[in-house]
Amino acid sequence: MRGRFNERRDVRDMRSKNRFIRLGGAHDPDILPTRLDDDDQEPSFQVRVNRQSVNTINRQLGAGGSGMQRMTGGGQNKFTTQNRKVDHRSRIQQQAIAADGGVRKDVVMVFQIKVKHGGTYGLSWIVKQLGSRVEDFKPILPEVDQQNNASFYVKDAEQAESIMMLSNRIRHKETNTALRMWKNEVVAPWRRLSAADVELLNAVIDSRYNGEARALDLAEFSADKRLTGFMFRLTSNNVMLHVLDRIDECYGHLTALSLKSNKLDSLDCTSMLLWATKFVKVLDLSSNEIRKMDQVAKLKGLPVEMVFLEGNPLCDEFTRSSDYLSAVHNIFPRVNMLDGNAVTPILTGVDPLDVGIEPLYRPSYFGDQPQVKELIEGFLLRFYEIYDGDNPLMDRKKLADAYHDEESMFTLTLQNFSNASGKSWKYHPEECFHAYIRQSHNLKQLDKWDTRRAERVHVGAMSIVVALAKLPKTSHLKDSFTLDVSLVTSTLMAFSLSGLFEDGPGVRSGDVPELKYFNRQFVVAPRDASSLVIISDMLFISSLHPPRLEKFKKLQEKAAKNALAPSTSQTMPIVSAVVDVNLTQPPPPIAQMPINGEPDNETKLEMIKQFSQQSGMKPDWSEKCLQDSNWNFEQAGQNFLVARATIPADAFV
Amino acid sequence: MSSLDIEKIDRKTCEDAMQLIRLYYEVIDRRRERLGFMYAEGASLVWNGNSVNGSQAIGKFLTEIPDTQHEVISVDVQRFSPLAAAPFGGDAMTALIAGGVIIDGIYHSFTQSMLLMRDPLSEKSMILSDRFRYVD
Repeated sequence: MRGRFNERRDVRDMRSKNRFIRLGGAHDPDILPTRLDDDDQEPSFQVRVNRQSVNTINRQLGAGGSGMQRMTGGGQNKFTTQNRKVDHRSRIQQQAIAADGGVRKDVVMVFQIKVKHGGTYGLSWIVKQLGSRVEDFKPILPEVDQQNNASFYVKDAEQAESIMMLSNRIRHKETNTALRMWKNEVVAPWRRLSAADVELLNAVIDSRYNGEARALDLAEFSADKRLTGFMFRLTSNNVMLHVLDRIDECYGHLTALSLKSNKLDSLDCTSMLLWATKFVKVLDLSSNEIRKMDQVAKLKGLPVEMVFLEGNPLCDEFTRSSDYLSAVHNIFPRVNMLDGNAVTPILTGVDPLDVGIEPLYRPSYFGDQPQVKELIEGFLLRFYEIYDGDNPLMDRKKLADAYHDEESMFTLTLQNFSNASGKSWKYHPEECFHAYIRQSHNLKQLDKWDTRRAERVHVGAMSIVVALAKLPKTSHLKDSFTLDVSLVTSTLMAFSLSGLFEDGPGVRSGDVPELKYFNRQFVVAPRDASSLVIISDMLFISSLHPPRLEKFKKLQEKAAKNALAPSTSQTMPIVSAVVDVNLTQPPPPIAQMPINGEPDNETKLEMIKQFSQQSGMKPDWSEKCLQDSNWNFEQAGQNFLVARATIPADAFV
Repeated sequence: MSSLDIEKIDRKTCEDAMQLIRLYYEVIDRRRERLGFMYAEGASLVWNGNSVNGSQAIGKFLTEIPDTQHEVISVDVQRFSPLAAAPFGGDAMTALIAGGVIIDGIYHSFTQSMLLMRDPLSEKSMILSDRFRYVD
């Protein structure tokens, strides 16, 4: 394995990760024996490729050799040309692994992910679960192995990592078990194409695309004159995977695809089509070597309406045409044309699978009024500057000005989050824990403080700051803050801040205290035109188990990525949460805050300038876009992204 | 305010809030068709940063998220003083809830904060603003 990569450090990193996973998996007797320790154990591949289907062999190669003996002689499939190819490939792998230093250039390293008992959950269920959670998820060659584990390959290390983050986090309802996964870096069951091959293939693929019809005709691909003398058959994994990569890259909007007459007997690779395009309505698989409908089922999920399967051995499986049609409809319920004959589809209209998708996790929400954001951010900045002071006993008393003299309230709760299996992480240091838990106003633990309520509910500015002063010294991580503004009326605002902090005597004295999670909800009223006064302050804190902290950080990264994604259609895009409430009593004598209406001219000019810089549009166009979005910068940005294609070129600088 | 007053108010507040919160999670986990009725007409929701306004739209939004199963581990509640609650018909509470939720099969920790008001005419408590966010 040595020297396979140019960057040797990376290899070492991956090795150590592999080792880590091995250690983790060592507790599990079901996992370990099925896997080859690819970098320690000298591989002694006695590959006896006997009458095995290409899948089985790929699986063996991917997973390592330990299960190999068990497999010999068990297959029933004919010895096909593909087997020979795989045989050849396995030799390549042997060479790649055995050669110490002199590694072949065409070897591809990938990550194999395995899902324990994956066969029980079903491949499509697993793929759907992961697909809805992992960005740009493209599993290669998904299948179920002899041990009933599901496996697939991914190319990207980061993606493999984010899939692993989901291990033990997804529950299967029927069996009430959590999906357990592990990963291994392995030699891919396909070879790397040379740059020249890629170029040639791309030229051929591109020339076979009809842009007007959005159709790609790959019929008799290897017979293409430009490819003579080369071994470019779609039955080769690497060629097919490249074709699908090309579709993904350039022809994702494809609606018709012909793979006619390509000697295909497996659609394992072709199933990647599901990730490359979502609009294939016409699919021609005729005159191939497909023996079973199971192979076609690997393309289930495409909205196919017209399909050609004639000329495949699978057609002989059916004696009655109605059975044939129903088998096809099981896979493609929208089919209205089968082998050129009109048939009645069993599904029309919107795909019912489209509902029930979880909305994206998004960053802070401020509403559509920039002044509100500014006001609240300024308020919080000052608040935490004082709150995090070196001497809480003195400093926090200065916060008295922030609370309403009589009407304000403060309570706190401390309860450590538990994980999916009910375990929680201890809150350190203990003295901080006690300081908080003595005050905790958690209704779920009411029996512990039922008779001492007044000690835990603080009313009025003076009483509140005394309570705050007794709490441990803290340091809040402003980079971790997420702020949601959930209510804005002319008399009240509610917002919720969450993030990480450190506490205890160790803070800022060289120690590395543990990070904790907090969520603080404020309800404020305007004191005057430029300042706020707190009516209600509620603080929740919890310890964070280190893996959970990692997930917290990942989620923040995801939020940042989702910031510019268009809003889900059914929600009203960024509307201010102004509430009309019937007043039965006069409003409290608190000054009105000018939080409605447009920003002043100076702010507008600055917004135009920034928008112009970010969008590349001229100032007058930027102004128009902002105006149309009621001077909501974020909304204007989204509108711009949606409409960019239709904006004339002279709008840009 | 005397500590006796505080105790008295807090006792009533906790009772009211526990009832409402139990009902809320029962509805969202098992009877989503009733969700729309729990929000005031002009209510606002910020769900993992997604904003939705109006009881009808909120009901629709929450009905369409994948199946949930909430486990509440912490509830804190405060009742607004009559003066502060005046714009909301004279009686309003605010609650901060934390726990775990299995959503579409995956486990997250979450926090949720709500502003609840009692409609002076129907005497029914409604959610005026709701903010939900995953921790991890």
